[in-house]
Amino acid sequence: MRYLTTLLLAFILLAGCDIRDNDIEPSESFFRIYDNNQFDTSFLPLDVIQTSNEGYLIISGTRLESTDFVGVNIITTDKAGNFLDEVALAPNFVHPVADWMAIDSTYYFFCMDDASLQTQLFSVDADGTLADPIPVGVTMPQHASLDGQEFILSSYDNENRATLLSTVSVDGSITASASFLIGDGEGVEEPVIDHYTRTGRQFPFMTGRLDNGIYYFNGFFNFTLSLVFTDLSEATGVVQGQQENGGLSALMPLSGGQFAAARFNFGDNYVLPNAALNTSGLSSSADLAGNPILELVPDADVYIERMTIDEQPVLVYASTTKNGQVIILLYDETDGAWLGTDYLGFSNPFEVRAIHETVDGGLAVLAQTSMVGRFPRSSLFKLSAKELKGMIVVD
Amino acid sequence: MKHKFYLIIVLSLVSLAAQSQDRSKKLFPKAKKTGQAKVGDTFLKQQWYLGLRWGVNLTRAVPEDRFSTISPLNFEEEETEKDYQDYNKLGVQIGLDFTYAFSNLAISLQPTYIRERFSYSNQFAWQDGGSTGASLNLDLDQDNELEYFELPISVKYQFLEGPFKPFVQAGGYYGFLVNANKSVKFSGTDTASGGENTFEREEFSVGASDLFLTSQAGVFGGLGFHYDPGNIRLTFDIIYRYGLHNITDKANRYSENRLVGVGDVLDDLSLRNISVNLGVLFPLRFLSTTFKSNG
Repeated sequence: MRYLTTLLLAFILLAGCDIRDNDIEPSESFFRIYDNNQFDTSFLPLDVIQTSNEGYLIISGTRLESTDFVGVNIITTDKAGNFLDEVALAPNFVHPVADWMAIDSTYYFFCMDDASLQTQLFSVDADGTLADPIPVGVTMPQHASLDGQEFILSSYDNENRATLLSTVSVDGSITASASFLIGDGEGVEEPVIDHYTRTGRQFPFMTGRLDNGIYYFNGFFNFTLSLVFTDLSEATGVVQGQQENGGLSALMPLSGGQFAAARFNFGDNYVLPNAALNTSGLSSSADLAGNPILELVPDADVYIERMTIDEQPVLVYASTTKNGQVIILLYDETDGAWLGTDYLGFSNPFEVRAIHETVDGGLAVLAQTSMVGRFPRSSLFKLSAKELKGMIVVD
Repeated sequence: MKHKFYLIIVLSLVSLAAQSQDRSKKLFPKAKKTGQAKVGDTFLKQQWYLGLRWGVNLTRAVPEDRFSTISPLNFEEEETEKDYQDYNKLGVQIGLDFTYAFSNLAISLQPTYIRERFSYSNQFAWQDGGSTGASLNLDLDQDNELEYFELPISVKYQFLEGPFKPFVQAGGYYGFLVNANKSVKFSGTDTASGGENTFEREEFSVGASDLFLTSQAGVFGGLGFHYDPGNIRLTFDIIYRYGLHNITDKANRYSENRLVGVGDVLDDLSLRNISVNLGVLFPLRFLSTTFKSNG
């Protein structure tokens, strides 16, 4: 009997461990597919942002029957990713551009009018309530990012065949602007227009500002997709691509003139977690070294996020593999050393669209998936800080 | 941790068996030379048994909190809930039986390998709201198979004297997950191609051990009977097992599930199980060469 009692007590103690610890907040880790049961509904997710109430706003393009441009759809979720509300903008507002930009508890994005092609500035609160649009004095927005209390906007001036880089205040007024000609000649403009109508390649347009005050954009300049550094009077430095067949696909300025970057070149993809770019002269993206990531789709979209994982500064790269999964690559920010790789998604194909750190130290990964291989839908992976830590396999 | 646990179990069982041998000698020192046992003898009312038991079982998964990867934009959340099929998949179990019997009471430790199976299905549907009226209906049938090494301890009370002894029993168990698998079968009807295309895709399986806790604890009750035809004891019992807690590993619900992409995710669930068992037990004292019994 003594042995039986001992065994019984041992069982009870053992049973207590993982049963007792089996608890996790639903918001820490989840995966959601936002499904609509109609055949003709399709979502092309663009960006996600975590709001002040820890829920999420997802902005997507939607197919419209009357135009090649995509319409605008915004989904509001709670902090566990459960759908709360959906807003579809009037069909005359088209071509939403990433990124979401947060000022206090208001979230901004740009799109354009389908007839005049004039840029529109929209704002949304944390509950998804939309404010009236503010017209902005440029056409055809390409990309926008936040710079303090104003926005950096790249757009296309189709009258002058130029890429415009502007700073825009929250009231829609343009505070500074510079124009960069894409070049004359037949066929130069065509890939740019195809980007807007989504009938051609989607280019990795980017904007931002360095610590030294220099602005940058990734866009067409001088016949080529280029990374252009500028003081908004002229180009101070250019990293040229290979017309529309090569260039930078992602960029994250680090400290001390270093960058985390990714580039593509005639279908190949390279990640450069610790790159020194020439910001004051002419150079070529093809001359940049990098780790060839052979499993990525040709000319893959790549997204970079700076995070601290387990008290370690980490660069998180996300992209899409040829077999339809989201790949997550982790690099040490200090020296660019590889730390780990993981994959998200299985069965249905997934294409990553955005990654952002969440307030709990986790990572939100927005992806497009195709339900049953045919219905394009937005999906959201939320990885906990513990799951990210588990991806690091190198000490 | 896992290895330590197994070591404790193995050492305990060996020790228990050794002790039972030893105790049987102490309890029944030097059986009568002529030693023909008599039914009703105090000598026979205390006994250690060692034997084998095996059987089949059926499982019901009881969802506590429901989860889905599908967040519906224009249809009801309830449509994403799983339909559980109760007690429809046959599992098996096999194990040892260590029993100490005294008078009408017995205490048993029954280390058992058990495979429990349960299934559920998800239904998804899409329609063409336009003129074609086309639709796609998709059914996902999921079979979950869990293998545990379990240690049930039970107390039995038997009613009658003689070779046929009905009994009732109650106890508790602790199981250690050995392996888990999920298999999924896609089928459906697609009218979007102009005709009614009923399809069925090949079933595939994935490992699912990370989706479940390594522990499962519960209580059980049952009834059965012993039959003592001679120097062995045959047993038959039916047991209802009641899982006391959620067995889904909440931390791994999404991250370790390769089927989330097709809309599957485990609910928080506990298990109910009905098992039917047969056993053959050998009285340990009969291992002594000095004792003979007429049963």
